[in-house]
Amino acid sequence: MESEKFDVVIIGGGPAGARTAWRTASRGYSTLLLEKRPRVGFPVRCAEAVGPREDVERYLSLDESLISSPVNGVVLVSPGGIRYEAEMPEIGFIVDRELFDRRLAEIAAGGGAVVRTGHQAMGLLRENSRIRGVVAKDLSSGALYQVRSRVTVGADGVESISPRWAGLKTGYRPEELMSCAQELISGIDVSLRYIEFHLGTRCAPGGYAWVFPKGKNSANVGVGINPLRSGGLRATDYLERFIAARCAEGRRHRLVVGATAVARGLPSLVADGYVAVGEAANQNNPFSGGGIINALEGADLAADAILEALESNDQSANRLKTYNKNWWNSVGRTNEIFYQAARILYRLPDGEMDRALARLKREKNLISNKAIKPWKLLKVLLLSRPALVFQVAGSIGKGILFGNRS
Amino acid sequence: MTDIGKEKKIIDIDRRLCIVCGACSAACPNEALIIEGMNLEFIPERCRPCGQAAIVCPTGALTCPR
Repeated sequence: MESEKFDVVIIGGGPAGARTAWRTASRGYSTLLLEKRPRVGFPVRCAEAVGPREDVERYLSLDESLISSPVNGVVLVSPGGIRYEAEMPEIGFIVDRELFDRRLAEIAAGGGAVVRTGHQAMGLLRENSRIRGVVAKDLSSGALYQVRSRVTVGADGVESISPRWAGLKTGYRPEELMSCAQELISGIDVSLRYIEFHLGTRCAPGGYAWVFPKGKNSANVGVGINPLRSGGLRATDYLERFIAARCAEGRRHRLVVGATAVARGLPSLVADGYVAVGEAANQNNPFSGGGIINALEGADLAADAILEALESNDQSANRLKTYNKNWWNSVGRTNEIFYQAARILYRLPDGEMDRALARLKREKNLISNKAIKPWKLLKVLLLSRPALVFQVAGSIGKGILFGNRS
Repeated sequence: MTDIGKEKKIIDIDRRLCIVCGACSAACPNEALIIEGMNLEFIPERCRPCGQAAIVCPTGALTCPR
């Protein structure tokens, strides 16, 4: 078997992988980015929403070509049909995710990373108990080769296997995955550029249905459901139902399906010689499913630890674990609150959910700096399930301590 | 030689409905369903028929006949 050597090999060419690649390559460490698909970013498997400009622009310039539509407000439709509307100019953007991912990969390549599409990691190389790279496959020729590395990064997304190989995670339980289906639809009036969320067992049991504007009269229209609460129906069945109710007249262009992890954060994101990042590491928001900015933030924290490890020539889990601490002290902690909030809200029967949403509507300053305040959200939701207060508090405490300890 | 997986028909993949999204791969506890490039590979000898892949499949492409 042929063998190559890199300082860092990264599995997966999405935002998490590309950002990590740019960080290590631009500091002079030889970096290989492996992407199993023939083309970075294609096919898109995403509802394409990101947060405010200042968040995105920490990582790349959000120029016109990347923006499909600004988001200027939010509509929430409760199970009982009560409609809440709030104007919030430029609270976020709907992006062209294919271009977005490609741009990040170009930035990585510009920083010196080798980006290889159509190549897939098939397993990890180990020496003693330490991870020392990957066995990769050139999918066009079928040839296997070794890539030896000082650090291996698993950025292989929701279906990722590499964190399992590294012993950091197991397969998801069905309720930890939102089963999703979406169509790009034209001939729908979204001229206000609001994003819509529709809740309730009829349209999306255990999740929500969405309309995200892609232009003046086109939108990503989708549903995400908890597959254990769907009465045997599929995400595509619920999508049909939602389209019939919301935009039956529209023209369909592109069906996207997939799963989003709505799982608790991983207690540890590192092993000897290995780091997991992005959705592979459950870093996306378990309340909304959104994960692009979280992945980029995770990548930066991972890269900080990787660079320190490379500089001190110690790639042990013990050295890399500053990443655990930094993650759990920032986004990881917020995600834990969102996880608890999601577990309450998405399990409420329709009538109770109506009441919970009415309470959220009355809550002042639930949104500040263009983001939901997670503690406020959880506090209000706990009014629907007061009996859970102690359980949730204990669970959060354990989650946060657990993540910090390892 | 008997292919146990095929003989018992543990899982049915309707390739017309499958668009290789990877949901089943995320849910399979035993790495019996793997995305390779743009293809879904099923490795029957790893399958311990639990039905999770079929539950999370967004399109109904996967079914467990038993």
